[in-house]
Amino acid sequence: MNSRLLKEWTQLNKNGNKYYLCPIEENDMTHWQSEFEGPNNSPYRGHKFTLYLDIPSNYPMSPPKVRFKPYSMPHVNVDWKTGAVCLDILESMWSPIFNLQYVVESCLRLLTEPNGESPLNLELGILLRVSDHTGYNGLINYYLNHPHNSLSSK
Amino acid sequence: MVNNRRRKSNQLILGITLAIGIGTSCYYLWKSLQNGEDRKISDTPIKDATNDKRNKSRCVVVTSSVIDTMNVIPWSQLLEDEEDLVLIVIPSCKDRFHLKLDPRFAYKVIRCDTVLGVWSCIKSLKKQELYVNLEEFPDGERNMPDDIPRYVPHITYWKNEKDILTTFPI
Amino acid sequence: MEGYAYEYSHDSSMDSITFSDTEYPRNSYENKNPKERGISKDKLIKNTIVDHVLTQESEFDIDDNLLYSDDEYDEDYDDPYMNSSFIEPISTIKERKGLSKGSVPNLKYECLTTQNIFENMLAKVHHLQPIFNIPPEDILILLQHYDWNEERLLEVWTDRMDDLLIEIGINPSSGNISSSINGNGQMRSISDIIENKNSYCNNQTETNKDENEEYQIPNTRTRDISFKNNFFCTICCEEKSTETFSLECNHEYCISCYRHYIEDKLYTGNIINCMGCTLALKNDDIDKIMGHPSSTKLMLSSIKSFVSKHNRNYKWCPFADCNCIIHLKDTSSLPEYSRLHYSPFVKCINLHKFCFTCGFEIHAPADCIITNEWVKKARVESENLNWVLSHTKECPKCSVNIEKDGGCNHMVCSSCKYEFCWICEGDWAPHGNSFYQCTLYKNDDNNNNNNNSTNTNSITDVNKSLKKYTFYYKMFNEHEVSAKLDWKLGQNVGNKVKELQEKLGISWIEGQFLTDSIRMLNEGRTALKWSFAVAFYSDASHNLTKIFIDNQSLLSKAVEDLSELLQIKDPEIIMKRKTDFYNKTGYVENRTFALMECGRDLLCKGICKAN
Repeated sequence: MNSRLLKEWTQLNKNGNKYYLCPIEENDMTHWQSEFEGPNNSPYRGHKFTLYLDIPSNYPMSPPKVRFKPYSMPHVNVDWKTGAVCLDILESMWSPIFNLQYVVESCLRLLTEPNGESPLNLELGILLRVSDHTGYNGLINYYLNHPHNSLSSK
Repeated sequence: MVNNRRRKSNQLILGITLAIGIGTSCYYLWKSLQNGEDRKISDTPIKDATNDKRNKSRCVVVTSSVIDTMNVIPWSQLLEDEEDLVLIVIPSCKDRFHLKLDPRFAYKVIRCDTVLGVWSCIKSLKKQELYVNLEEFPDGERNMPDDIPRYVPHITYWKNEKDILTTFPI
Repeated sequence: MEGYAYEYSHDSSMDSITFSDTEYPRNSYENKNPKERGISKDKLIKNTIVDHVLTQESEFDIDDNLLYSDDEYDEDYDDPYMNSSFIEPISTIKERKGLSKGSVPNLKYECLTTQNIFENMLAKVHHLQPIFNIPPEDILILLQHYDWNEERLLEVWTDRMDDLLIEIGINPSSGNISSSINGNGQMRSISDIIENKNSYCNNQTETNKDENEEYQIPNTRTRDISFKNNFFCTICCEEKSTETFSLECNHEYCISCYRHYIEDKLYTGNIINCMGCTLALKNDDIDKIMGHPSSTKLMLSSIKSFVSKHNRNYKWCPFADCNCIIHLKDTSSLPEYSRLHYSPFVKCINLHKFCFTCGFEIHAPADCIITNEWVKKARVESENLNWVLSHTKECPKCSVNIEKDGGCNHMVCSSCKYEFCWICEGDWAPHGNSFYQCTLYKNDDNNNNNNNSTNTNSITDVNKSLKKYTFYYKMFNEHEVSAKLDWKLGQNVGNKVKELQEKLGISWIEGQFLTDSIRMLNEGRTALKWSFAVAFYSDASHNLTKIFIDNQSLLSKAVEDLSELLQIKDPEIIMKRKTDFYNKTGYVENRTFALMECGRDLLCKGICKAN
């Protein structure tokens, strides 16, 4: 199954790697990371995010384990403390046909399309459910700018 | 020989004592100077209590009486000075509460479209202290959810402008 | 308390040896609801009140009439050793069963296995086939999707059958497969992702472009395995000559990737789709790919998740290695059970009995709340107390090591012939006769100061409560150990019955009294064991508690007597004492019932409650 990851890696390099998706260490294909900016049409605009992808040994039969940097992503479907992401394609809806770039794109898409059905961040979930958009954006903005957050992540 | 040696050792002891004496006095002098500098810093601008408040984490719910204090209490200044102060604006006040605020600190004001949203923000932020005037909440929404004390250890219930001025003395 | 698993497994092994191949009169034990076994509740309470008055004068001078002051029972129990009219305990029970109409409705349940449930589902499929008019295999997938809920499926089916077939992946959608992957509230982004799934395919499979062309025209190829030279698999990204599999969608992958993929999914019990789209793999496909009938694994996993999801009506038998499922069709009576402090005890086909609500063994007279509380406490305390639960003890007189070989607590030292009690290590003489003292926790200074809790400081209080707990736990534990040993004893009973048949030419059915005895002995011990949990949580100053403790003593004595009787090895003596066996077994049964009812009374009146 290792040839699959190698193939993905070469493909990424060939097609222009816009999410900076790469193995954290050159000779270890089991731990990847990706960096991207928050989408313009979201409260995350203007902020940079890091995503970590841990590849299981039976990839692509099992999905990679995906998490944001802890204390960096205030999002309905992301655990603030651990950075864990709740996304169906990373669990029951996973198919071996998906690749790592796809996973990153899905996480990015989650930033513009939060899913209020399965919140990990309960308070943001409530704000979303009662469609308190001002409060929702305001709270996210608070977390993104508050200096304590970057402190607690260290 | 013996005498000579004794004299020498006496001189040595004297030298050491002198050195220690000078050393300690220098240290205390330096220390007192330091303290003076410290005091100078905390003395200098705006408010005296800033130093301890700087570490406090406080959450203020902005209701109409808070808006009435806008001319008296320098909210912008407070937000810029206090690192962990956050204002949550209830729906009826969100268009009336405008501060001349450095954009770098604008994030510390969170406006809400719903009262439920206000409580969600408070729960999420988990500050040490909460200041709120429940009587100025809209009709039928004046009750605080039971679980709020689990998220905020100290809650102060404001009743009027005077209470606000006691908390934030000018 | 870690002993449970052990005990369960022990139980089951015991069952298979002594009971599973025998057919003892089932109906007398069919219902574990004690209510069904005897006198009505009202009568019992009335009696206990009468006893209440009686016992106030002489608290410890208990006679056997304690609970059965009714004439009918007086005769039977006055002296069970001499009474010849009491020979057929089972028929007596039947009669008494008829006497009382329980206030708790009978539990109606069936014992199933996953295989049984799956067969039921297959029957459903055949039942639905004429309505749906699609292959049975497809109906199976539909049912699997709807958690085997026929009604829900039918509802959706009448609404939008064509969409449903596409949604669940039975029929390929015409043209664009990506249109709908998910039926039930998945993320919005999913459909987009699936679109990209296809684009990803294109991206990766430049080598075999034909895939896309054929994909536009479904049904041109059937689902099957084929062999390809130099096939590039988009999953493992390897090019090799291999067998491949594809569905009508023509998403073709190498067989080893498909096998890995299916292997992981068999245990989820969910429908397995094509890796590239939403088309579902049928059981035939799965078996074809795996090369052996693996689909049954998938079906059984699906049934298992069905059982877990419906845990209000379905419960797994908690005994080790038992795969039975108890299906209680109507759970409406359960609140009534708990209100009256009964427990809904059920029995699986392997004769494992357990409580439907809490999954524990038969824990009467304790109810589920007391049971949980006790078990929790025991778990915590046993770490503090660190009991040494050995099966050997030194003879208190001559210090020879004595191993306990049966459940009996009446020990006789093999070397010095000293008779003593296993529990208190005291002389047996006072135990044997009128009153079995060892069940009674003697509160040392109970008489001196009743208000000791207020006066004494907290440390002695803690010590006292620990001492009290220690006593009850020790009793509980002794009976548990005894029960285990009784099972061992019971294993010999099968042999004894055989011996009786061979040596004395006694018919099989006639030898059954031994099996009945050992079973009743175990039931008595279990009740006795749990009665200590009830006693621990009961208000000791209340008179009803005293009556309960007296009842405990009586059952304890009865159980010891029966246990001793079962130690007899000579078949001729056994036959001679057959009447004894009957009487003592019947007596244990009655005492067990009395203790259970008395305990329930304590619970109903709030004298016993978990803090």
